[in-house]
Amino acid sequence: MMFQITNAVLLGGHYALIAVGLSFMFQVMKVINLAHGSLAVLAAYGIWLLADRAGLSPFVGVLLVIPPMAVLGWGLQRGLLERAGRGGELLPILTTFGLAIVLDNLMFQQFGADTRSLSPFIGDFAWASWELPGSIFVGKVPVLILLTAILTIGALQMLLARTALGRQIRATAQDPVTAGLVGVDARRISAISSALAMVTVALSGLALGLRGTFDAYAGAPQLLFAFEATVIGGARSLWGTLAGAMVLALAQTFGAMVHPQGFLLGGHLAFLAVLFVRLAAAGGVWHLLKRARA
Amino acid sequence: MTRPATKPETGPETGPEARIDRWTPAARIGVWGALVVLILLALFPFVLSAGLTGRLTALFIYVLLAAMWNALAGYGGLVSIGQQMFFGLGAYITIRIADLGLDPFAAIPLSALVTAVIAFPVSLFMLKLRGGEFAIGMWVLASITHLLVNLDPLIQGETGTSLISLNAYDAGPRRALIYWLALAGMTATLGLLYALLRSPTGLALQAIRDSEEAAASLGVEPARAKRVLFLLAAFGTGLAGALWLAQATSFQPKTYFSVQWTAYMIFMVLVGGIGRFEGAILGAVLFFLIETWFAATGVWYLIGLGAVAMAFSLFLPKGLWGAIDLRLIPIGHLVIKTKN
Amino acid sequence: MSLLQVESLDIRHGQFRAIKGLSVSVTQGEVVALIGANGSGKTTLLRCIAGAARATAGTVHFKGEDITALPAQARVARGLSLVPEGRRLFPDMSVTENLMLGATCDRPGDWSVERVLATFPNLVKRRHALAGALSGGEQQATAIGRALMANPDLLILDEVSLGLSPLVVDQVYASLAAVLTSGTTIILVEQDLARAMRVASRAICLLEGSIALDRPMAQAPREAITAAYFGLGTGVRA
Repeated sequence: MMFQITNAVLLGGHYALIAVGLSFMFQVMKVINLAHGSLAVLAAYGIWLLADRAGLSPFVGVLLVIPPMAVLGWGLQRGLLERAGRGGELLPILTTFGLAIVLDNLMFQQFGADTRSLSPFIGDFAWASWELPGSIFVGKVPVLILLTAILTIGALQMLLARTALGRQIRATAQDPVTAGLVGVDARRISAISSALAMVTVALSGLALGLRGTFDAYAGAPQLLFAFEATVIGGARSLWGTLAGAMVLALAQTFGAMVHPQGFLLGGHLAFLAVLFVRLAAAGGVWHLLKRARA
Repeated sequence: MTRPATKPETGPETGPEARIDRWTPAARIGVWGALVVLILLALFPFVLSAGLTGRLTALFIYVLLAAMWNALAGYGGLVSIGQQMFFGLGAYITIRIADLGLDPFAAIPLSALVTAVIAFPVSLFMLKLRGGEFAIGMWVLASITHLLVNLDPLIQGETGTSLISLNAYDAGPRRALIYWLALAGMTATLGLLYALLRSPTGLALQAIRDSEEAAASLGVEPARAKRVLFLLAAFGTGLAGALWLAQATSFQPKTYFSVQWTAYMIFMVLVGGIGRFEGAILGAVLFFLIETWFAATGVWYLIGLGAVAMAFSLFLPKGLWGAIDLRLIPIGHLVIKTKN
Repeated sequence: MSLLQVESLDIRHGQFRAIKGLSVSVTQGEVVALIGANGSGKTTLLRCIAGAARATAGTVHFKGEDITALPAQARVARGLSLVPEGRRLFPDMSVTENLMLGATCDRPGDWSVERVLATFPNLVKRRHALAGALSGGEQQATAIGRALMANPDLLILDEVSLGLSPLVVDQVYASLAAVLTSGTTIILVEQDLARAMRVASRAICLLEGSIALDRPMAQAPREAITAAYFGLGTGVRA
């Protein structure tokens, strides 16, 4: 049991890392980027290329992939999402869905159907593990991913809470019009936020490749995990997203213990359950208020 | 056919200045034209080759899919990335019903009905969700349905199975029957949609689309109107899935529950024209043509579809029919001036 | 020297014409009271000048530069700040954070968080409180302070006393006294006619999107303003 829970927590770290970018973009720009998973796979392929052709360790490769991903995020916001956002709340969903299809199939065209992994490029570290009390072995890679997730969320939170840029981002997220009236360039802030989100996406691409294998169509499942983690955590704070990721991973692990095919089902059902409880609670609060006023 | 819906305003001594009506000359041509086309289509299996009959069947299924996604998104404001749930369910339930011994051609419409029945409790929950949550929530539901269907021993997981009982029919008559069933199914479902949009519920939907709050304050029940649309879309999409199964005979869950189907629906509706009855048909025809010519190019075809859908969403969000803006199907009311 | 020049401004919301071919000029150092009934177009006009609403036709010049097409933050950078109607603070941020946001454009000047707190002493003990938890008077003070942090050359205050009790409004104006006499050009919307007449040097009365009166306060007796406000009598135009 402890073994499963430990692994679930480590899996939750992975989900948190992929979810934080999606959650951040949703909080600031109110956009759900359906190409999010595909972009993580793109980053993974980029790191793979650098490792395969130039012999660069993925830990170095990710540093080289981050700047172009950030620029891509900037361009995505300014070139695509800004325009799509003007068409209403739902149009960006369609636009990013189209983008995901384009990206997935371009990657398939370029890289073929073979699954890839980044673990062959980190040598023995891929199997290294620590022994915890109770003779539980935890892989160093998953722990590293969990730590990265926590550090990333912590860094973003610090940025938001303590820096001028962070204040501008929060202002743009809450009230872009008034933000403009106090001197904040909402368009620029949105583009910067998108770039920051893409930095986390690059990191999660590394995690994806190190944890297991990926192929051109691996983006969709990653997107669903990120979305579920975000919603379960309540898309209001980044630490909430971490909690949501943990719940998702635990539910999946529990589902796998119940039935061999239960892994994905467990996560999906937990997602629905959280939504249901939240809806019921919202309705319940309203009924309580009614009674209080009467 | 000319029937003023309200009492015409009277000007001074000179009679009505304007009347409210839904039929215009263009609409009249459009509807008569559609009837003629339908009769011609029904006769095609007697003259066309096997291959073309099969292709046209696919076209009818595409029209059905586009019309249903359009109904949900264009008239109901509900963008769903999970309609493949009902597509797959329609096919799966057909297999199940046929397994019980019912004739496959009876199983198909019955399966669509069962899909709609399943959609009812789904709607009670999902329609309470907002925009993005609903859109991707439906995708999650589709995944759940896929996973559950995989658990059915009859389906054997991703290996899948076939609609074996169709083999009782010879290839020729079978193809024709599937064709007519698809034509009838498409026509009937579109007819239902047409009737719905012309009914008071249809008017309510247009009001909700413009402003849900304002509509609610007039006594319109948004929840009920959206639920009717949701159930109709589930029915039509399920029917499409069952028909596709009849055409393809084989059922692999991964194929039928693939989000690719929603991608096709989105393409057809974005290109054809969202929120326009004629637009869905145009989009389906265009998709059919593009598929006929380009599907052989493999992934470039899909890349092209995605890119075109993106371009339309950004630059021509009302689609081609929205740009042409010609009213061939008489839905909605017009004020027609009778005085010059 | 004309600080703000509005020429033939037309603002439409769909079919409705909120501002009808309005022209006005404000010189440096003036304190202008913008008076008018609800719906006369005051907020629409001010939001357009500040860049939060788009003009359908006409131009806005600030310090000689055509700013009609400039976004709001560019106008703040040039010294034009609006305290919006309803305060519009960022509720999840503290008073201090709201104030610091006001300095985003980093314009040179004397205003700082310390000076704002000195000007509005009731904010001192609330400076770490979340803006959403403040009282009406404290919110108004924060909103004004936030606009001042941009060291504006033209400060626009939309509905200073909206939703505030008379005592609180007194406090706000007492704090504002220094600003009002500092030489900063000010346009303020104030429903309390007596107060407006006390603090302003010029009265502009708006009626259904057009200017019904525009006079130095010394030459605008109460009756004239009231008549212009309600659109009574012979057109009392300046």
